[in-house]
Amino acid sequence: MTPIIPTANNPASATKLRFARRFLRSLSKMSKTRPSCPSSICVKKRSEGLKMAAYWCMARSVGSRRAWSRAILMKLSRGRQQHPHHHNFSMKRKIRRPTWLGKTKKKQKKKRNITCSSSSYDDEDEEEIMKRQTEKLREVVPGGKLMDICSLLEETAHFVTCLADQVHVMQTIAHRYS
Amino acid sequence: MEQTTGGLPGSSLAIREQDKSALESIQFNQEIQGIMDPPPENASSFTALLELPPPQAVELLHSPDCGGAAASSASAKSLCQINNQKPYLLHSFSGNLSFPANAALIERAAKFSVFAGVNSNPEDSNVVGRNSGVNLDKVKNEPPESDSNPSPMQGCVSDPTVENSNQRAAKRKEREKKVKGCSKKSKGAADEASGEAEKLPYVHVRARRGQATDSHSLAERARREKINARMKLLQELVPGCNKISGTALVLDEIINHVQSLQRQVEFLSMKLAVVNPRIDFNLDSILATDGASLMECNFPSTVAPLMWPEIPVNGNRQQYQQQWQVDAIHQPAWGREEGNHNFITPDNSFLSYDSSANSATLHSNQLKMEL
Repeated sequence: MTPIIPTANNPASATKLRFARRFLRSLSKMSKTRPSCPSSICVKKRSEGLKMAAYWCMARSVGSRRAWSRAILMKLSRGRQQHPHHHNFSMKRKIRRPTWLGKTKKKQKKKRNITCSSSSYDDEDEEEIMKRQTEKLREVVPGGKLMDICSLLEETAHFVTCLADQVHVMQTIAHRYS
Repeated sequence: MEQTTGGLPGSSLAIREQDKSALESIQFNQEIQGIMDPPPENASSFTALLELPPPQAVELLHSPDCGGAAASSASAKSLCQINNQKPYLLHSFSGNLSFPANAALIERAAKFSVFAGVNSNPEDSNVVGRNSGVNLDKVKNEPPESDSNPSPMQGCVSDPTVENSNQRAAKRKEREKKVKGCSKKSKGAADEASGEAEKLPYVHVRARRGQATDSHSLAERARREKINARMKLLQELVPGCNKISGTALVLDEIINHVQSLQRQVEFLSMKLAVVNPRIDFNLDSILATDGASLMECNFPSTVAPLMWPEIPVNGNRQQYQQQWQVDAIHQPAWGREEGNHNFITPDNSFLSYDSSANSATLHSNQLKMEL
């Protein structure tokens, strides 16, 4: 089976391919460096490390074109600088994680409250609702706190497409090897 | 000088009053005539009395058409001007003085275009008009008073000036409006797509009918259109947002979508953490072949035959068959838009996670057995 050189019909697929390659390489590295331990703690560490690796690979494949990718790279490189000897991504758990990486149940609750209350709010409070939602969006999208609404929406759109690609690739890999 | 701007009744009263003073002024004129004989010597003082510029006064005094009579008439005329214009005097002097005086005045009046159209009035009014016109020229800086009190004698003179100035002002305003309109039209013509011209450094916005045309409001409108365009893009990306109306709800959906994607990444990383140790170096080659399949989403059909020899997993065929069934369900989902498979994949991820968890437990059991 000859390796087919994939021709990118559109730039989105090129990014996807790049991400896939990088991610697989990082996966293989991780599998080499760390012994596989079936304990739950080990699995958790690995999963978090994998998560960071996934985001890092995505940001690298996108490059510096987008503000969110730059933000991710900055944050992760800062983590690396603090721990130069450890190339394991699991160490980054101790570093203060950016909010967009952490998904807690609190956010879900907040979300529900807002969705319930937005219908009952008057038009006068629409501005407040908008402000709250833009703040949430800024928290969710990396690097969103520094941007104005226009660029925030643009970055969100690109971030959504890249996240979808990332999920797709990871699913294929996971399904392949599970 | 202000008597030229007096109203009709005011002017008539002024004329009656002037009758009495006219006799006095005649006497005064006679006295001045005696003084006037050496004209050049007294020119400076006389011009000061006349309140006229010296050369013009000299011209009046030395007008060629008239000798002493002209001089006297000129002096009378100038005295009239000094005495706040007594037009009635001219009537008394009209016999001798009117023509030469008129000549001198005509020369001056000819310079002023205002009097070009004033021909139909009788001599009196003409002379008066000219005098008033002359004074008006000096009083030109007091337009409002002239505008407010138009008299028939003065009206024929004042109106043209006033009308001209008004017309000029109106024309200027019209021109300015036209210019403004043209500038806006040119802006609109240069405008290609206000919402989509994001690459240009300047965004050309067309001022629509009935909307404010301030620069601030225009900029705000451009900004709002930009934001709306991007919201539309996001709505297209996120599944299920097309039906929702209202920015707040759309934003809610977008945030939910992003958070769900991030959760999926977390789940998949958990899954891969469990699966990871079995991955070999064949990954890259496999990926190269599967790169096209990734794009084409024909994953299960192409990969299925390759999978079996690659994965060194033993005794879990049942689970694999389950997974292939799951993948068969998956494939059409992947073939569709991302939204569908995003909804389906959580279930599949759960299923596969369960299967992988089972496999993990099986492996742990195997390890324990080995140990």
